[in-house]
Order: sequence, then structure tokens, then C-alpha cells
Amino acid sequence: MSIKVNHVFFAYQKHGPDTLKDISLNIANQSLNVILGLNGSGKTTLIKVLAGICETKRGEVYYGSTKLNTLTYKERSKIVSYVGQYAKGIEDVKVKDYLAYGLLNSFAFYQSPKEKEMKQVNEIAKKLGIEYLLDKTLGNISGGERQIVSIASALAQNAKVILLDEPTSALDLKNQSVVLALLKRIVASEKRTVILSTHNPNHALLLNANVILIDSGKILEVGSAKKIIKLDKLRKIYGVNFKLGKDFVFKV
Amino acid sequence: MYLKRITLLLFATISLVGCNNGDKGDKILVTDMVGDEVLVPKNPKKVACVSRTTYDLLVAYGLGDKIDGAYKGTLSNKWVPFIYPESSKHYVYEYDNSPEVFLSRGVDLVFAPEQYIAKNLRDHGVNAVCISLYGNPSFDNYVTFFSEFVTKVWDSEEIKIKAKKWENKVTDAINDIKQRLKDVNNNQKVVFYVRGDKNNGVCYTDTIGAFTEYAYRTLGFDFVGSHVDTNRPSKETVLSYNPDIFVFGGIYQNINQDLFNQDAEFSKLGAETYSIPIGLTAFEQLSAMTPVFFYDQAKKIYPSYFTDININQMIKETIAEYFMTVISDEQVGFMMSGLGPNGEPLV
Amino acid sequence: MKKHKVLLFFLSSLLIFLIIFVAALLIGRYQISLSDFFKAIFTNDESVEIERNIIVNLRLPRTIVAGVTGVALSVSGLLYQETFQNKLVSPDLLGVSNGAGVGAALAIVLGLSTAFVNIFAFAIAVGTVLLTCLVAKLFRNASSMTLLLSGIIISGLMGSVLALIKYFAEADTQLAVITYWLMGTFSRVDMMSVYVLAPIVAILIAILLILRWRINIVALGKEEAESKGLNYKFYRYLIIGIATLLTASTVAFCGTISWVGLVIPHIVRIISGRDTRKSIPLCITFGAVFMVVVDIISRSFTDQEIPLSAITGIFGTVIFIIVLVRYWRSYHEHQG
Repeated sequence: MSIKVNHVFFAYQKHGPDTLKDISLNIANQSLNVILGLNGSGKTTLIKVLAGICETKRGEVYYGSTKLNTLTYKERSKIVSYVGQYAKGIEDVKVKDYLAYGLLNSFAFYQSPKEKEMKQVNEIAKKLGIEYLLDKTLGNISGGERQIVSIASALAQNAKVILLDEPTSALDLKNQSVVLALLKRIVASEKRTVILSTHNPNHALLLNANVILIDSGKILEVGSAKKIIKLDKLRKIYGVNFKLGKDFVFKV
Repeated sequence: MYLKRITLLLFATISLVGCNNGDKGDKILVTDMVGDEVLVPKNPKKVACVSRTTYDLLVAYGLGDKIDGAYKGTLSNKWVPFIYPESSKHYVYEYDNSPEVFLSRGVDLVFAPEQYIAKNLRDHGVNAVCISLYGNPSFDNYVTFFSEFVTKVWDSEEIKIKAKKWENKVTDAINDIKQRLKDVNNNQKVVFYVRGDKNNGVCYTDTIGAFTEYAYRTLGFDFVGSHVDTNRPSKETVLSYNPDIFVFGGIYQNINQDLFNQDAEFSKLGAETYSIPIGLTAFEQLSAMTPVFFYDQAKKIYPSYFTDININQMIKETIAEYFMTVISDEQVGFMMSGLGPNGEPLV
Repeated sequence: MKKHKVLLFFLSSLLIFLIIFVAALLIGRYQISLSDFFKAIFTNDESVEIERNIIVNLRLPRTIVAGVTGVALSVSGLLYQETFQNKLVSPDLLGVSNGAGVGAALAIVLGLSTAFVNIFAFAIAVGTVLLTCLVAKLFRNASSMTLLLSGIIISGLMGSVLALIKYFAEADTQLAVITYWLMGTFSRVDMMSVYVLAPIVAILIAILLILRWRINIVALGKEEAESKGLNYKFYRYLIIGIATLLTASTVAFCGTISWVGLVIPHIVRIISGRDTRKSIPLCITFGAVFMVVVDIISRSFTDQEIPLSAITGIFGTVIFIIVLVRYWRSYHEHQG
């Protein structure tokens, strides 16, 4: 399912300044995309607009030929899943139960997960290599594990598109690479479209993804990572003296 | 598992149908003091005097042997065991007892102090009527309510005679006093009643609906309580009425008198102060001593019109007549001073 | 064994409830022997007329209402805790209790009958929660935090109104009645109360049982719940509505009973964990047992009944500490 963003404007306050200005995008089916920008560039807002969490002031978002804001919550959840900030106060929820929550959109209001659905959950956990976490509670696993669990829950939704808002910001280097590798795998083996936001250009390079460069609410450029991520551009945007090191790691 | 519960409920409902309310003995439809029509048993053998005004009156009407118990406030008075030794047999009730207490003691009729208490008991299978301490709108038509009520419920001639005798004593006292004071009543004195049954200070009184309001008004006084809308008026309000007389009743009367005397603003009024005797009950409560109460207060305020009246003698005679107890002059003195049977403070 | 732990607790607490129910009919200020008990229920024998009256008119309605109240308050407490993502929240949060207090106090001061006290309490309780939601809507986002704050404000306002009404009450009579009402009692309950309260609670609980798994997802908060496909706004207001009705209808008949909605969910969660599919049924049985036991205590040892909140407070705290201490270790092992 391809995503089309058509001249979208968004502001958090009705008569306030626009956080997103005239955004137009075309995102291909089964692609891996990175929205790259500084803090406050609007990348989180863009993810939320794509998820339908934020309603646009002007312009529309299309999933395939369907306008996003015409869908019910249930319909929308079948098309796009969103992985954002961790929900509060659920440290004592078991991982397997949390994964099962992702199956909500396949139930009628009177239904709930039974053995068959829990088997599904096991399958997903196996695919992502987190079977050993199933009986633990969310508060008792590491940050990296939690992130993978969130992704697994989003996978369980069976939505074609997975949106992630800065999925690696709180993770150490090792976990960052684990999560990013996982995302790359998901696009390939699970045939999903993945869009994540980040401020770290290394991630885009590691993933070899499509990059959407955003600054001050406007799209600067769209293209492959190799093409977009050039030293001079980055120096201008970030205001930092970058150098290209080995293994694609930028050093200051 | 749910079957068991449903079965129990079913049986309960069936038994309800089988159980009839009209049990052994006659019943009579009466109207209680708040106007509720209640079916009560005739000639009850065990009554609970939770309403404090009913206890000594029942004894006065010759029904002391029918009393099962009384409110703890009534029975905790130090004079009670002395004047009426029978009281030691009586059960001490709380203010709002659960129906099961009365049922377990086999009480036939409960005199409850408030409507909601009486109603709750009736809803749960206990015969109860409300004998309120207050009339609506005033106590004027309620002075003989309980004595008449008693004659309706109990058949005995003796009781009717005793009840009537009490009623006559009250009316005679009022008429006599009014007659003696008929020339004085043009110059109405303002009276403020300091109700001392609780430790609420000097500015705690009775308003319209209470017996004291009726009593002082009927004797020809301007009763401050008739004009205020709360029984705890502020000090300013009390002072604004410029009372000529302060009367002190209840177990806290001596404490309140001290407070009064030490208070600068009250002292400035130059008012007369009188105490109200306290025996089995405070005299200003509707009771067996009510005729004596009228004379006592009238004589204290207008002594010249009552020189032939010997209050001490009245007290002794009344107590002997109703409670079969002889009290000494010294003890009458204690009563008049708001003290206990051995001269000790009541609180 | 561990797999069916919750089921085991559920069945045993259900059994305990039935036993306690029958015990409640037997125990009280008036002693009834077992043989008289059976005679009174299963025969029409006139000799046990008083016993029959006590069992059927006094203890049966009370015990049923006590059970129903325990269910309603425990479940509504759990619902509030899940919806507001805060385990220290109780049904009083949005102003139900203070609102009910205002209603009852008003009716008492106006000298109205018990039926009106119930009606006023219910109406103003529900009205207060509606007011809270309205005030929350004034803020642009009616988030849980906003509702919580509105609840504190309106609840506080109602508390002040209550204080004002108490001022106008006759100190000697009405004030005592209001105070006792505020502490909760089952003594004013009769079969009519059962016929009104039980169906209401039964229907609401039935709806809840059907939806009980979804409540887990409401507990995730707006963003995540919506992203998983739940109409968060609708469910949140539905749950708050059900919880409020559960609390308001019991409060209307029994006065405000504190502590139950806060503590029972905690105890239940130690056994069932967080999953509302399991915790809701356990709240039902545990709550029912607890409240019937509290009622037995309130009416069996003294002539004048002990107010319910006094017992739930002391009793509840003690149980809670014991359970917490005993299961602390297992609770932490459970965490894994």
C-alpha cells in the first residue's frame, strides 16, 4: 500500500504557527523510510500525522486510495500501526498479554484472545526472537527488549504500515543496531512498509533507507540515503562540523 | 451454585406470603406525634422508652412495670437510681438501635425520639411510634399528647385515672398561675432559657416547638427562643433581646451560671438569674414534675404572688406519690441547686 | 496449578461467598439456632415467626445489598484505576461520593423521607460527575490528567457545599443523621432496595464482563489504544459511566463507603495480575465476600450499628497489610 501526503499543513494550536508547512510526499509500498531532522524539525509531528493521531489543518493523507481521516479507529488500525512513547503504568502487564493487545482489530467487541490467538502471539515472538520474554512483565525487561516488544505488538496488528517515532532514542549502541536490523528484516520478510523518525543520520545510512529530510516543518529533500546524506548538507542543517569516518560513523 | 441461592430466595419469598402480620393479640390504629398512622398492639407488656420524655411519665401513669429499658442518657442521670430504684432492672438503649435488639428482647412497642428511627423500625418488623420532643409548629397542642396516647393503648381504668390526674394537675397549675399573675402580664418580662443538657455554653436554648418555649410563653413571659430561628444564637443576638431574666436548666446549669457571671457583657445587662431544679429529669422537660416546674419558676420570678406555695413540699409530695420514694429536705435542696443526690456536681 | 490459579481463587471465593451468605442470615444480635433457621425458611411454622421476620425482612435484603455493593464498589474502583492509569485512585475521584453526600444532606435538612434521601443522593452524585466531565471539556484536551484535576476541583467544591449544608442542619438531630449517612450503613435497606439495586448492578456488570478484555487496552492510554484500533473516547466515557453508575446507585442506598474501591482491586491484582479479564471476575467475588463480612460485623456486636466506613477502613487496612507482606515475595518472583 503506498502512502500519499498531499499539501498537508498542521498546527498544534488553532491560531498558532504551523508545525508542518505544505508537506507533500509519496511513500512506496514495502519500503523502508527514515524521516531525518533536528529536534523540533517536525519529524515527530509528521509521523503522528501519518498515523492519524494528529489531524491536518489543510491537505490530506491517503493510504492507497482511501483518505486517512475517513477511517474508523478499527479500520485505520488494520492499515497503519504506530509505535510511540511507552504507555504509562503498565509495568505489570505480561509481555504475552501485551502482544495479544495488538490483535484487538481482529476481534468483535465481545471477543478476546483464546488459545488460537495466543499461538499467533507465540509465532510472532518466535519470529522476533523474544520468546524468552513472554512470561515476563513489561517493567522487568530492558529498554531494548521493550522496544522490540512494542514492535512485535505493532506487528501483531497485521497492519501493512508500521510507523515508529524515534524508536532508538533511549537505547544504547548495541540495542540501537539490534532494533534497526530488526526493522530492516521486517520490511523484507514480513513485507511491510516501515517509516521511522530519527535525528541521527547514521541510522539512515545503516538501514540504507529512503530518506525524507525535514527542517523547520518543510521537506528539504527526498531520496536514497546515499544520495541525500552529504557532508555539506548535514553541516548546514545540524550546524556541526561532521567528518566521515569508517563504517559510516560520523564523527564530530 | 447459583441454584442454591435462587432456591433460598424462592423459599424466602414463599414464606413471606405465608407469614401474616396480624399476630396474637389485638391491635389498634393510632396516630403518633409526628402524624404517622401506626398499627400498634394493645396493652403492650414490654415497651422501650428510647424517647427521653416517655420514661418518667410512664411511671407516673402507673406503667413502670411495663418498661423494658430506656435511652442511656435518661438512665445515666445520678438521681435515677435513687428516686426510682426499679431503674436498675431496665436495659440501657442506644439512640438508634438495630431492630434485632428489640426483637431479641421481645419488646412490644418502642417509643422512638425521631420519625426516621420509628419508621426504620416499623419497616423491619418492630412496632414503633415517634414520641417527639418537639411539637409542630409549637408544643401548644402536644402537652397532653402522650398521656392521651397511653390511655388509648392501655385499657386499664387505673391508668386512665392516673393519666387524667396528671393532666389535671398540669392544667390546674397553669390556670392558677395565670390567675395570680393576671395583673402582671401587661409588663412582659423577657426570659432567656439556658438549656444545659449539653455543654454548649450560655447561648444554647430552645426554640418554637420545644416544651419550654410553650411553657414560658404560656406563663406570660416573652421567651427569646420564640423569636430566634436557631437554638444556638450568637451572643450578639442574645444580647440584642436585652433579656430581663436568665433561667438555667439541665446538668450543666452551675457551669453555665459561672460562665454567665464571669462574662462582662452579660453582667452589664443586670438581669435576674434563676436555676431550674433537676431530679429524675430536668424539671423543664415534660415530665411527672411539670406542675411543680411551673410553680417553681413562677414563684422565683414573682415571689410575692406565691407566698403560700411551698415548692420543697411540692417536690417531696410529687416524688413520693409517683415514685414511692421519700427524699429529705437536704436532698430537695440539692435538686434546687442542680446537684446530685449527695450534693455532688452532676457533671 | 499455576495456570489455573485465578480460576481456583475465583471458584473458592464464590464458594466462600455462598457460605458467608448463609452465615449472614444466621448471625446477628438476635440468636437463631440452626434448627429454627431451617424451620423458619422451609416451613410455615408460626412458632418461629420472629425468626422468619428477622431472616427474611432484616437479614436477607441487607446481605444481598451488601454483596451487590461490594461487587459494585470493587469493580468500579478497578475500572477507575485502569482508566486513569493510577493505582491510587478510587471511585471518589470524580466527585461521586461528595456529590452523593451533598444530595443526602440536602434531603435530610429539608426533612424529606428516606426515599428522597436516596434519590437526591443518586441524582446529585451523577450530576457531580457530569459537571466534572463538563469542566474537563473546557480544557482543550479532555485527557485523563485533566479529568483527574477537574475531579479534584469539583469534588472539593462539593465538599465545601456539604460543609455549608451541615451548618444549616439542626445540630441536635439532623447533623447526626447526616454524619451517619456519610459513613455508610445498610440499616435502611429493605427488599425494595434489592429490587432496584440488584438489577441495575447486574446489568452493568454483565456489560462489563462482555467487554472486560478491552479494558486492558483502555488502560494503555489514548494514543496507544487508538493506534491499536480502539475508539478510546467512547470506551473511556462508557467505563467512567458504568463505574459512576455502579458507585452512585450503591451510595444512594447505603451512604458513602470508603476504602473498598481502593483496596480490593489491589488485593485482587496480587493474585490475578494486571489482566482485566481475570481481575474483574475476582473483584466481583472478593468484593461481595468482603462487604457481607463487613455487614455482619457492623450489626452483630453492638446495639447501635457501627458505621461501615469505620469497619472497611480498619479491616481493609489490616487485611491489605497482611496480604501485601505475605505475598510480597511471591509478587516479586511473579515479576520475573
